[in-house]
Amino acid sequence: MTALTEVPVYGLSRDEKRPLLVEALAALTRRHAERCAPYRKILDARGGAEVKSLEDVPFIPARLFKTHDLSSVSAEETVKLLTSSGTTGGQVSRIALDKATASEQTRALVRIMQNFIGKDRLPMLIVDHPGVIQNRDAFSARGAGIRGMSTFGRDHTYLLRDADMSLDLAVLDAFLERNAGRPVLVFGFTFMVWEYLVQALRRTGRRLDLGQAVLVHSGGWKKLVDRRVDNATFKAAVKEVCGIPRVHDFYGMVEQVGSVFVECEEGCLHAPAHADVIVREPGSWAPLPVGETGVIQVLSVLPGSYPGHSILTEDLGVLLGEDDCGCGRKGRRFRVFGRIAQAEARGCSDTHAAA
Amino acid sequence: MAEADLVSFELVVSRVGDDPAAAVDALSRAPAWPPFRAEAAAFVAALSADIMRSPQARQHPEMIAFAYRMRRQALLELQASLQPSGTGGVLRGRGLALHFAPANVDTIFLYSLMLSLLAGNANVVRLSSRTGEQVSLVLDLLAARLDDPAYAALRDRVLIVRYEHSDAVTARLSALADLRVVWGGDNAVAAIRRAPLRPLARDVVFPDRWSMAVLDAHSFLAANDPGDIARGFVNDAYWFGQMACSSPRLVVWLGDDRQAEAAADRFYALVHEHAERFRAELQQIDYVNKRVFEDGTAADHAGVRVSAGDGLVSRIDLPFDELGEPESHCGGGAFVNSRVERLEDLAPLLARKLQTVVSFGVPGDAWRRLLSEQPVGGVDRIVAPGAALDFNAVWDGMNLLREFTRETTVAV
Repeated sequence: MTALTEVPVYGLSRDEKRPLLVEALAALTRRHAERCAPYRKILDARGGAEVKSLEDVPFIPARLFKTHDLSSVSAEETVKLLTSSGTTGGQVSRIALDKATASEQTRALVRIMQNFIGKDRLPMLIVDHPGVIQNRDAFSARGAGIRGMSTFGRDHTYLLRDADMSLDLAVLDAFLERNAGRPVLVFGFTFMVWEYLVQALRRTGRRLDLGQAVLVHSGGWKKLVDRRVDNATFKAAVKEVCGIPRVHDFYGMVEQVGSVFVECEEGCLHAPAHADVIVREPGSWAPLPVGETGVIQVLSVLPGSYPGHSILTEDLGVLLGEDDCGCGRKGRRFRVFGRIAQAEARGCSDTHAAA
Repeated sequence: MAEADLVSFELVVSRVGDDPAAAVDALSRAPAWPPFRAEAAAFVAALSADIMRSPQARQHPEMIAFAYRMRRQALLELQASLQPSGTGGVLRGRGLALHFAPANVDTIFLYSLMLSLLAGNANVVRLSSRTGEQVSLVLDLLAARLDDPAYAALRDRVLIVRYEHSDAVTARLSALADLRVVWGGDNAVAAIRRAPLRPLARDVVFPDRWSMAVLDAHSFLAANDPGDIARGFVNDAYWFGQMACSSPRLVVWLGDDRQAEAAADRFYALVHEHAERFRAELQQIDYVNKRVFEDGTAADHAGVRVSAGDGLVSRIDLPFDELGEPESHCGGGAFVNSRVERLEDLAPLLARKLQTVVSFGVPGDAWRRLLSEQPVGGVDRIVAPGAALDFNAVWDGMNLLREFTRETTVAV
């Protein structure tokens, strides 16, 4: 496990990476089976797990972290309990971190982000309102994301007003004056960037010249797809209105903090050395080749304190290739299409609730 | 209606004007009729014939089943089955019936409405906002029949409405009702019960239920037609995505270990074969839901075995003493499979919320004995494979025609 977190984060080819990854994930599978009884029962119900290849690594649905307490460490060893925001239904994931896992996550995230934004802590513009990190209930996921990214910046400057999310141009101008000519980091959730920065600037007619900036954003495309905004449109608009030439989306989840998949200059999400993705056919769960859309499974060597090293997400995606990206980074590259559509309610229930 | 300005809803089918408040008012003034009054019975039979003649309606098996159950001959049998309990008693409708239709089983509101019409009531039906093509089809036929001068007497006895969830509207309608019929499970029942009924009015409610299959292993292995049994079971389970209250979620075998295992292996292979027909109806999320259900069940219990193959049929083996009531279920063809030695061993599982047992190889008398001799809390119907979803005028343990009428004792 140490090996994959020490090597260049996008430097291993498939042949170099696979044996190390399989060994580490097989060891994690054994470790969690020993220490987490519900996880062991899940494996036993399918006849146990013999891990010979990456595809053999058993996976469990991400949703189980909302319905079950899946931890491989004692309460005393738990230093941090991560929770996700509840989607519909209101249940939240609960992820128990011990000291080692928490610090591995932080180190891994640093190594990934440094690859895209450099080693220096840059002056940082946050496309959100300052209240978001105080309000732990309503915006916990957004708040946690901002707190996480804040370690990569300094001079943290919130662009939106608490009261109405309007763009505070005075704050922006002061920031630009302080940091004229320097590279800066802009961070925000994808929808916030679109709605409260790009669209807000368009309404005022103001154009920014952030040619030295890099924008990092995350949070998913659902609201933008509803507005018929795809990644290309998004990037073009960010360039046109803010002048930001470098834009990186990333895909990650609370169940695997530290294993984010960042979008490269070519528009592909990349697996770092210590993590990987498999796309599977719903139902048979057979791995799918490059080009075929299926459900995304994410694998990571980081989760030592909970059995989340191999998780079936509820997102659809497609593999684009491996070790063959124009950006020069090695590893698998892929695209995410978003959440699987929820089924229409069927059967006798829900006259009232759903109607 | 008082404070009519507070209340607005869409009139989907109304032959008593365009004003919602006035329309409901007109229905509340319609007198109760005796059951099976000629006009009402003729109207139901005519609608049944219309459905049989409609090429579009005929494409839906459950529409054909409805029409078949409401054909003239069947109505005569239904009428003969409805008798006052006391000598010389008189049955009559209760007055104004208010029906809340379930969101997704389209034909339920038709049964509810037609039985209540036959019972002698005037009827307001609140449709779900999500109704399918079948409902519009049948509403067109219904409206056309109401326009037929021969059935003019029915015009102030049928009103179909639709409204977004609104406690105010439900309360206004409930205040006028003599009988309220609530389909749609626990949430619907709880929400609608918040609106008070008049002291003399009553609720007939259909809360959440679940269903199972009980199959005799030896009989199944010896059956000439195991494929027919599996096909019937697949219809019971996969129709409505296994989410109807009558869809079997649990399969319990009677027999010894070896026989039960052999029978189950054969059974699920055949189920898989027949379930192919429903494959196109399973969505990606169904497969994910099944996976979550399989692994969640495994985590919660000891000794679970999961075999899901290509995902079409998911079999989850559980020791019988680990079984609980499968109140939440993922649907889409997931079966918790277990075994008991003898029928009596089943008794603890047959709890109040169990509605339908799909039974094969267990004689009716064995069931009758079990139900009368053991402390069995639930079970409202025991049917053969393929019949789980057949609607009957006796439903959830109630004779609906009796529930929808009242009896006047005449003891002089």
